[in-house]
Amino acid sequence: MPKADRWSSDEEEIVLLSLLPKPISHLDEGTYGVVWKARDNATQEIVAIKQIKFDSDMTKEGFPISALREIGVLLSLSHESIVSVREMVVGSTPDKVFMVMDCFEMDLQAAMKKGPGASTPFAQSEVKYMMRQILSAMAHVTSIARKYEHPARNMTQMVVTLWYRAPELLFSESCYGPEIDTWSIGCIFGELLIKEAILKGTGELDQIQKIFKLLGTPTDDEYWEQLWSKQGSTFKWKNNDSDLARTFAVNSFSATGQSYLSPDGFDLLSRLLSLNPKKRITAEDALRHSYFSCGVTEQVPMFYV
Amino acid sequence: MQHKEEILNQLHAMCAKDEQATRCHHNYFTQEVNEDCRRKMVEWSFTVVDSFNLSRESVWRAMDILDRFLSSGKGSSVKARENKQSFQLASTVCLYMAVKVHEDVEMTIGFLVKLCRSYYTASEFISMEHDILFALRWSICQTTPLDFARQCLLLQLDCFDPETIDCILE
Repeated sequence: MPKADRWSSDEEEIVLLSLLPKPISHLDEGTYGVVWKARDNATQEIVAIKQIKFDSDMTKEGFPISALREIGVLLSLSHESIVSVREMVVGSTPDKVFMVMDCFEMDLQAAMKKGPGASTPFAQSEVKYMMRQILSAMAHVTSIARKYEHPARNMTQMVVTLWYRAPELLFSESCYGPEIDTWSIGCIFGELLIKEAILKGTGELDQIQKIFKLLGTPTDDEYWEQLWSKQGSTFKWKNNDSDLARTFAVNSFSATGQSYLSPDGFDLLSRLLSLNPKKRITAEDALRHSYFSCGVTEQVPMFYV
Repeated sequence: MQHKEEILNQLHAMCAKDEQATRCHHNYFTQEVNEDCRRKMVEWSFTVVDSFNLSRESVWRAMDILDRFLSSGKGSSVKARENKQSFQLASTVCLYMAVKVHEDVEMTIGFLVKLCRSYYTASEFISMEHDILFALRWSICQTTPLDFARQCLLLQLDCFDPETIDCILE
């Protein structure tokens, strides 16, 4: 561990303190290497620094394209609910490049498992608070990052962690639009309600089966019929009905291990988890959903205070 | 269809971000590298993107990177303002970077070398890219005047639909 290494960013010095127990964001896990906790000697602030992973590409094709895009997008975002990249710092050799970011105590997954009320579900007011944060951050990303949308070179399938991956991606659709992110947000909504990932597939096929089991097989759906006939699919999927209403109890105080869910909340959940990406609700529309305008007021979750 | 309020919010976000960005010097030209050199590179870049069916917007993004780099006074930007060959190298790399970040197709270093008929080597391209990234602290996705123009046109959605706007901007 390069404990005493210093990384310069002009006048300031960043001193690595320790390896953070977990990468800050799970989506990044494994893609860019490790995240360190560090102190900025100029301001004495604790920051997180993420080392950009280089492979042999560096010498052949310049700065890695994925890292370049991620840095570019993150530097162009500015939202209270999005971790901000403060600056880039470099080490002694060109392959030592770090992103300096705000440091957070924990990520959402850790927050669900730790905190004062770790063993009990979140209050519905807390879930609503977090959902608004997530959705408004996503709406911001969508609006700013519109210019970065690419049907990325066959990378799309690896972009999203399996459990949060939209069904169309599992069928190798190569379009990367905001719909695949709202699907992920739907998965997170469900996870916030029961404090456990809702679609824990063990592989791509199992993930598809779990999705169809929870939400029903998309029969009579134009989008899926087109996709399957385009791919000449020979798979026959067992016809399931949606299990969503049984999995997430509405208006129930007796449902154990689940946050209270209003009918509005259930409606939003099912719109986020729409199997047809064309019908999936956008982050902007989700923020206008009655779930946010009616019912209980939002409240800062306990693990914050 | 986007709502006016959202478009305005985006405009605000873009303005705020632009405030923080590395400034462009209003006039970084020298006797050796003047307006004419820049114009020629813009024209050359348009020829390249047109022949490879890339977006013309990539040229504006490239020029945005170039202007900011040359205004920065850091690293080899000083040389690029004094020396035509170095300026040409820098503008070519800016186009390469804009394509890298914004286009779906890849423009490889090998392709660049061919494009410039081996006037520059692969390692010169790579070290220039490195220099630009350092000088601009990786802030290479700044809002361009075209982005502002698009937002302003979007505000007039009653008059134009998004496709028309794209046509106007082209």
